[in-house]
Amino acid sequence: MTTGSEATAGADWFPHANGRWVVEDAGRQAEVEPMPAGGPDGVRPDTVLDGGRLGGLTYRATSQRGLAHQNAGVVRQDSYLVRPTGDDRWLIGCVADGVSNGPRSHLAADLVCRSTTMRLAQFLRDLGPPGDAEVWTASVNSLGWPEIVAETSESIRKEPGWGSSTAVVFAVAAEPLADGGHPALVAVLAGDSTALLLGDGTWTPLGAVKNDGAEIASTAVTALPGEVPAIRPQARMLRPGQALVVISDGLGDPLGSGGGVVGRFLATMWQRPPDLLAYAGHVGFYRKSFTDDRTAVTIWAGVP
Amino acid sequence: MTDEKRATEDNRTLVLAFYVMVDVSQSMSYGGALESANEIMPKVADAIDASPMLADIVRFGAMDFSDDARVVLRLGDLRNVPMIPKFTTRGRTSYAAAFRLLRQEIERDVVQLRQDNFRVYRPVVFMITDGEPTDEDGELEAAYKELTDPGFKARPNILVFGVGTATKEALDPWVYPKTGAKAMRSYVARAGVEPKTAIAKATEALLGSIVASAQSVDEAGQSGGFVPPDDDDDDWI
Repeated sequence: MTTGSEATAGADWFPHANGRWVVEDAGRQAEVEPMPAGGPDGVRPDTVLDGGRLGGLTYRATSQRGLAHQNAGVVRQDSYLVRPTGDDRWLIGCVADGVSNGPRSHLAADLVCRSTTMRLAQFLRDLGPPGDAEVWTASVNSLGWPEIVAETSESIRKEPGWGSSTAVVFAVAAEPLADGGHPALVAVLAGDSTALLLGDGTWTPLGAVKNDGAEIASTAVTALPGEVPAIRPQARMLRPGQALVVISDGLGDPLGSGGGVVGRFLATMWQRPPDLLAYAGHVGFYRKSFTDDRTAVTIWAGVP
Repeated sequence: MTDEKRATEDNRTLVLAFYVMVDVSQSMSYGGALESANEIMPKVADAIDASPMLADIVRFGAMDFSDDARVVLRLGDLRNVPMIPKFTTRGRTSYAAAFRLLRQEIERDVVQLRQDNFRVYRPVVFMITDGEPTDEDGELEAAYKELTDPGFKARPNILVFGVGTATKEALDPWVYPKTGAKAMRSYVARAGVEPKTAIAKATEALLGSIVASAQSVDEAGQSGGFVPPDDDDDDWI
């Protein structure tokens, strides 16, 4: 039996002697010795990983402490949540990145995921059947986005010292419509966590790509609580064979719009849902200079 | 965007450019100031060598200024420098010359870094000086304005470290930016502190800042890839 890695290792990506994937150039990343975070935050896991099936969907999810935080003994500030709604009609979730200015922003990221996902589940429960693509788009636009933002911001404000967090939420219908498409939505509520579609080896960003073509890159972000631009939710139909990939900027920065070597690496590895632990390995690749926490939730539709 | 251009953008890796700009006017030869300044680059080189985080991200360059300004070490990977050059004193103190050279070098370096397939964050200048500039006012202001012109996309963050008789009032006008969430500041040694001690302390602050910046280069935050020395540090000698 092959694991996939034998067939796909090549000049652009290959396993390091220590077992981790390298995309082109590891720099000196393999030298990093992870240091535990001290104090009460020391209990936060370095890496978390989930996966499963719901109806016609298969998903994988992981959040990993970046090399910079490992090196400095700082906790993982990224967070995610993925779960079926109570009626099993939807797979919903959130990816959040605690903004580094706040020393306990990982708690803000956790809270953002809980708060937004709970509210989103309520909205979806009250929503009738998604209908066709046009009806679905209208439904997504009319969901109570300002309410989700306001409530989530309010709940973080009640916790002094937690800082702030980016947030992107998503939902995919467990069962397809008659034409095979799974109604799906993605909404960036704040910041630079983002989502892309992956199908036939091609990536399609669902929104602007951070620092795309910028002469001087920026790390400035919007976050909750705080002033955020109007939410522009994306309503899509996830086709069989397609995957929705929701990520924090720790993966978004090296991936960009998916047109480079990282895009090819992940597209190759994620043609179909990989083994759970292999998936974590794909997200945790070495690539020189990229050391932020990484989180990725990937949902495949119509996997036989 | 064509597929080729898209691949170029998506394949960029990250880099942080730091410059040290050292005053080498004659007065820097007193109190061990110059000797202390000459320890900056070896210390940065050692830190880079010891840290995989720094090694993969940091590019460092050095310039000096007096009546004129000169490149002492072109921006690059310090690990590739077989013999680290030294600062030597000469003449008076022209900040205008320093600012003009910075503009010229940064403009050139950013183009080169982008050609070399890096994603470039806002460069950082650590300026170390022991005294008030001897420039004509108009000339100095014009040079500062040109370096920090909003139309100059790579305009750097500028932090000024004052040693000897330098005062905060005299140095504050030359930091950048001066306001906003990312405002930079000057760091001035108290009266009576020996210049060599002040420069050694500035070196520590500079190193700490490089390390913190490299740790958080691609993190979401307000610092734009750069973490200045701790602002709450009232103890700055």
